[in-house]
Amino acid sequence: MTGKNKKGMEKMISIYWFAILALTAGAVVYMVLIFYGNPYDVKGLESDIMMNNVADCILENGHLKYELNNELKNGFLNICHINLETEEPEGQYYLEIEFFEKGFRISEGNPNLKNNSNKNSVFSGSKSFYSLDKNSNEVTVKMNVYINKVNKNAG
Amino acid sequence: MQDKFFNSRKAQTGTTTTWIVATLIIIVVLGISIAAVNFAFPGKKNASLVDKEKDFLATKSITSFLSKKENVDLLKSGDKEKIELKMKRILYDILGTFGKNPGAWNLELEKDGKKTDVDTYNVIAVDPISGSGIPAFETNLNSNEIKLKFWKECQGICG
Repeated sequence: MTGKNKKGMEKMISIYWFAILALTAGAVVYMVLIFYGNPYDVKGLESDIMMNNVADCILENGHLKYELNNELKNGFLNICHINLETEEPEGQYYLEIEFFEKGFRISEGNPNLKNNSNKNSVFSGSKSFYSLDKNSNEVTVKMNVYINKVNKNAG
Repeated sequence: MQDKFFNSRKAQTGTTTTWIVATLIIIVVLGISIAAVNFAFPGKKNASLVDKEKDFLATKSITSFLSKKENVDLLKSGDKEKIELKMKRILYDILGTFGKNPGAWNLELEKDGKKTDVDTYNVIAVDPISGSGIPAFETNLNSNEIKLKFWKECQGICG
């Protein structure tokens, strides 16, 4: 009688241990999923890199490198070696550069992103910097970047 | 015989209580761990440049600022009020430092070996031990007469 009870008790403890093991393993897996399950959102990083490249392209020794004319406006991407093409047919980027004191503006990419009604999905970043034109007049340059790429980034 | 029976039941109750308490402790510990992970990583993870303290656009701006003779003359004059006004326009209006970033830009002017603190802009990052600001980004520019020190203070959380 006592032997049977002991065997039953051992079985119970084994089941209990397995249950605890499963519980602990489940919790660890859940925590790992929380950490690694969320994708990295690199849109902010892309925006920063793009704005830094634009600033690096148009500034030389503290002065604007190019004349602000249609030639720059139409060939900006080629001049600055910026490629906004993506695998998706519709553009995923929109870049806008405003030269405040000059009333000059360059815009490239998909302009629909700027007026997108779904504000949560489209990333927008904006930065400004101080520069001088060829005649050492002050020019404030503001850059606005809009990035969609919802499928490839966290939304 | 009867005593033996009761003792045995007491022992069983004690063992069961131990197991229940142990189970509860395990569940509580796991629950706290899950809650902590949830709190620490609430949603999407943002990737950022490795060194946020080195602001490329700020460096470009200050380089442009110092490329203008009038600006250099202004710094040489040591007119604190005028320099402050000019720098505020760059730091606050153009670079948008004010009220946005946890770090802050600082400017110090040294002329003929005499230092002048031009301004301290919204310093938030402070060394917890010494209580002093921590220069994390620093640009030193030397000319024959003046030395301009321009740096950003933050503790790895600059925006």
